Formats: sequence, C-alpha cells, structure tokens
Amino acid sequence: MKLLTDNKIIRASIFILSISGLIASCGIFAKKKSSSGKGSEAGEVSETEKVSDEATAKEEVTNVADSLEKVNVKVRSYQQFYATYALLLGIPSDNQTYKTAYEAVETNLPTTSSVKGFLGSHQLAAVKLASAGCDVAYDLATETERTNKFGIDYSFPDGLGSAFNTENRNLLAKTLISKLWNRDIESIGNDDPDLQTLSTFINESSTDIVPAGSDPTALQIKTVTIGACASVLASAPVSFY
Amino acid sequence: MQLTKIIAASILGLLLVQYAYAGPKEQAYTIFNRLNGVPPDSETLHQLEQMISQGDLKGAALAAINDKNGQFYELVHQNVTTWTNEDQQVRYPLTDYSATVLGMIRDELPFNEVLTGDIVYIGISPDPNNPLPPYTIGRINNSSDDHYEEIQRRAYPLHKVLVRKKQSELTYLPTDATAGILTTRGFARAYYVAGTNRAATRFTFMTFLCRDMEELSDNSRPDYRVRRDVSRAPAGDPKTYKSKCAGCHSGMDGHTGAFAYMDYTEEDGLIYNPTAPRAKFNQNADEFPKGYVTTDDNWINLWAEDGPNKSLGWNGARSGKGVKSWGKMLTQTDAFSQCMAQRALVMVCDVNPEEDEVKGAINQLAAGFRANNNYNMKALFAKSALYCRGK
Repeated sequence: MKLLTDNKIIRASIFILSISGLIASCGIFAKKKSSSGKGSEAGEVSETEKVSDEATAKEEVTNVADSLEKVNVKVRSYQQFYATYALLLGIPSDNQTYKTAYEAVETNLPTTSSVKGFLGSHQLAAVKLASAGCDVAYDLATETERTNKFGIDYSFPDGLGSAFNTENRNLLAKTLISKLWNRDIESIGNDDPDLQTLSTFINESSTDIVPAGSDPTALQIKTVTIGACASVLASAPVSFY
Repeated sequence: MQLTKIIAASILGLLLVQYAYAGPKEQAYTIFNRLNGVPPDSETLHQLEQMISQGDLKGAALAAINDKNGQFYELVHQNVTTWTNEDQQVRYPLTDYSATVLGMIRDELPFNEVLTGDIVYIGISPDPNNPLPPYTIGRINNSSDDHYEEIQRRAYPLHKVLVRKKQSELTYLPTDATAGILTTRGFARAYYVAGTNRAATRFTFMTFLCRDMEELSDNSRPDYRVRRDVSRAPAGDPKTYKSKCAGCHSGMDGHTGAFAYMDYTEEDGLIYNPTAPRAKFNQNADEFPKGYVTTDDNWINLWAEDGPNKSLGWNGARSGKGVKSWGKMLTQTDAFSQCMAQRALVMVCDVNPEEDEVKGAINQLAAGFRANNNYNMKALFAKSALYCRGK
C-alpha cells in the first residue's frame, strides 16, 4: 500500500477516534425511562407511563439483575484486537500473513481495558493491524465474496471507471459501517453523517492515487478499498466496547 | 464551517452508535462483547437475541461464555495473569496457577476450593503423535515451565486443552499438603522465591480478598507473632515500629506461619519440606532476638477477633496448621465472595467498585455466589454481564 494512503487511513481513523474518544471517556449512560423526552414531575405520571414502569420493574426482577446506570466503555486489549478483526473480516485463525502482521504490532497494542490508558501509539498499531487484516481479507475473497464483504460489484459491469462513483462510494461505506459497526444496513441512509464522512474519505483517496482522466487499476481499487476498510475497522465503535 | 458540520455530524452519528436504545439485539451484542472481548458473529447474535426476547437473560449470558471460539477464557486469562506475578503484568506466561483458575471456572467447580483443593489443570495435546512436555513442579521431577510454555507456543485454545488432575498424583505433595493454587509451581515462583514468604500472604489477600496491606494495617493487634527479622526500633526509634511496622506485621506474620514449609528455587522448583521451617523464617534473628521463633507451620488470625479487619467476615477457624487450612479460612470469609464478585463485575463491566450503586450490585452478586450458586465463577461472570447490558 502506498505511504500516502497509509497516512490518509491514519488521519481518518484518528479523526473518527478522537471524536468518539471524547464521548467514550464520559461513559455510557443508559437510556432514561422516558422516551418521549419530556421530563415528568412527581405526581404527573400518566397511566400509560405507570403501566410501562410496572412492566419494566417486573421484567427487571424476572431478569435476575438490574442494569447499572453508568458503565464505562472499555478498549480492546492486544489479543482482542487480533481476534475481533479476524472475526469481523472472516480471516481463518491459521492465516499466517495476518498472524505475522499481528506479531509485529502486538507489543504496541493496549494491555488494559482502560480508555484513559489508550495512547496514540496504540491507535497507530490498530491501524496497521486493520490494514493488514483488510488486505488479507481482500486477497482471500473470491470476486463474489469480495462483493459480499465490501458491497461493490467487483466485476464492474459498467467499467473500472465506475469503481468509486457516488453510488459505489456510498455502497462501500454503507457495507463497511454495517458489517464492522454492527448497524442495520437499512438504518444507514445516504444522509447518515458517518456514511458521508467515509464516502468523502473514499472519494479523496481515489482522487489522490488515480490520475485525473484515467480509470483506476485493479491495484488502485484494492488500495482504496483497504483504506476505507481499515479506517472503519480501526475506529472507536470497534476499538471501544 | 464545513469542518464544524462534519465534526458535529460525526459526533451525532457516533452518539447514535453508543447510546442507542438497548433492545434484545443490542443487549445480546453487549452481553457477548463484554464477556468475550470480541463481537458475536451474526448467527450467535441471533441466537442470543432470541433468548433475551424470551426473557432468558442469564441463559444468553451463559451461552455467550460457552461460545465455540472460547474468547471468554482468553479475556479471563488476561485478567488472571495479573494475579500470578508481583508486577501484575498482563504479558506473562501461562502457568499452572492461571491454568488451574481457568479450568475451575470452565468446569464450574466450587471456586472456594481454589485455595484448598487437591487440584491442578494441565494441557493435553490434541495430537497424540505430538505430546506436550510433561508437567513438572520440581523437587523429585525436574522443575520447568516447558509444559505451559509449549501450550502457548502452539497456541492451543485454553478452553479445549485443559484437563483436571490431582496435584497429589502428579507431584510429590501429599493430599494434606495440597492447597489449590497456593501449591502450584507458578504461585511458588512468584511468591515463595527468596524473601520471607510474607509476599505469599500479601498477594493472596490482594488477589482473593481484594485487600492490600495498607487497608489491612491495624495497630490495635498484639504483636507477639512478629518475627525476629523486624526491627522494633527502626533507625533507633521504637515509635516508628509502633506506628509504621506493627500495624501490618502483627497480623501478617501470624498468617504467614502457614507458609513455613514452603519455598522455591530455580534448581528445585516448588519446595515443601515438613521436617523444619525454611531458613528464611528465622533469618536476621539479631534484629530483635526476642521476636517470634517459627518452629512449625502453625498460623493464627489476629485480625478476626477485633479491630477494623473484623469486618471482613471471618466465618472459619481462627488458627491452624499449614497452607490448606489457611486457604480454607480465607475462602470462608465474606470478603472472599465479595472480592470475587467485584473482580467479575469490574472485568466484565469496567465499573468503579467504590460507587454506591456498584457496591450494591457487588453485594447482590456475592450473596448469590455464596448461597445459591455454590461458588460458581462462571455463573458469577454471567450474572455480572447482565448489569451492563443496557436497558
């Protein structure tokens, strides 16, 4: 992969991570009982809300344990990064290329689950591992499997020039967000902010490496795909849990 | 302006990812992720979602633990590894100590036997033509780590290759002298090596009662068990001894008597010699010749009768002989159950155990662990995950 693209991946993933890191450090707060968004004063609870609260209380007793209001976000440790990327990308456990890439960065990945201990060097190592994982997953896949993994029809019936047109950019971004961030694909509209950010990143990457007026080569298509894949994989919704 | 919009949009998008209402699918995802450190595959997620929809939350958590990939045991292994070395490092080799803890959790053995049982977990090679090096702890069979190092080198899945054995059958230790992890080579190498064996007491309290010496220090206890190697007037000042030394040593030295026959050297491995206390127990006698002389492995718990440590909930014997009875005394405390509950909840949910709401959850989990679940750690982890499943 070209250094230029490596840098863009790192920039993109740090960008995504830095924003969500701010959120993560505040902890996850469970959703408040009132979904309407209206604050209810004591004595003003409607009958519907009472029934709903009773049902909730009964459910919680039945379910053995109540859920804590505040739970900290954890960051994956070194082995968990390795296993998580392999699982999300469908890389077999005995793949030596991926294992070698992991061994090269293992000591730079986090050892504790504390978000406060998450360093820039951890993020760089995660990006490197994600890039290697996406590379392996791309190479291991047949054309059909690749289409299934990344969303784009890699036979490019409309020609290579269509590889990163708006439709394919959105498709690639949507598929990656859905598969790697565990979001229902139907819930990701074209105006989704994460999709727009990623789609813009894909556009900039392809513009950077494909000379103006030329169709992308197979290698350039692979490079852009891996870049997009790695930036989603090495971002907060995967690194933090 | 455009950049601000992108940042605002990204924050919104990520808020949606992190804060979405937790229905059965989201709860299934969270429970699995928290227990395994990796997300579930789509088939597993669907199965867990179904179980949660039917109200079987605990069943879903147990199914997540028993997932075919065994990542739960990798997560537990990382946590347990910090118990097995003084520096509390995560990157530390697998030992018979950590393997035994993992095996007991996997097989749902009563975890109060972790400091008393005639039990050890070793590995079995899945390939009969390529066996593992033999398990050895030393003394009468060569002492080495080859067995567990090879399990790790071959990257064998821990949830599959560990098998339960009796220490008394694999080592020279008689059944009465076995005491769970306290008589493993891994524990010996970490805590019996050199020194005075006080490290064995300190780290056992830290690991299994979640109390370090600063919290246990109690100047109100009599100091007649403090050994001769502790100066009663450090730098010539008896007040220093009274204010800074006696608080820990009065209680700790009474406990450490249990380890009088235990030692470790690189040449001999784990040493258990019931004929006489190890020399380290009576060394530096000139510091205070009138101090306690160790003659055998009897121990006494001076923290149980009165003082702040009474609150640990001592339910067993107050004195005894040897490591086994001492381990039993510790696992009978209320603090043992609470500590195990705290460890499970913190590992799975990453909560602050000092917060009132979390303390309540720990007490609830500890009570179940002790009363209803027969000290079943797997059930404890499963229940812990329900506390951070979201609503």
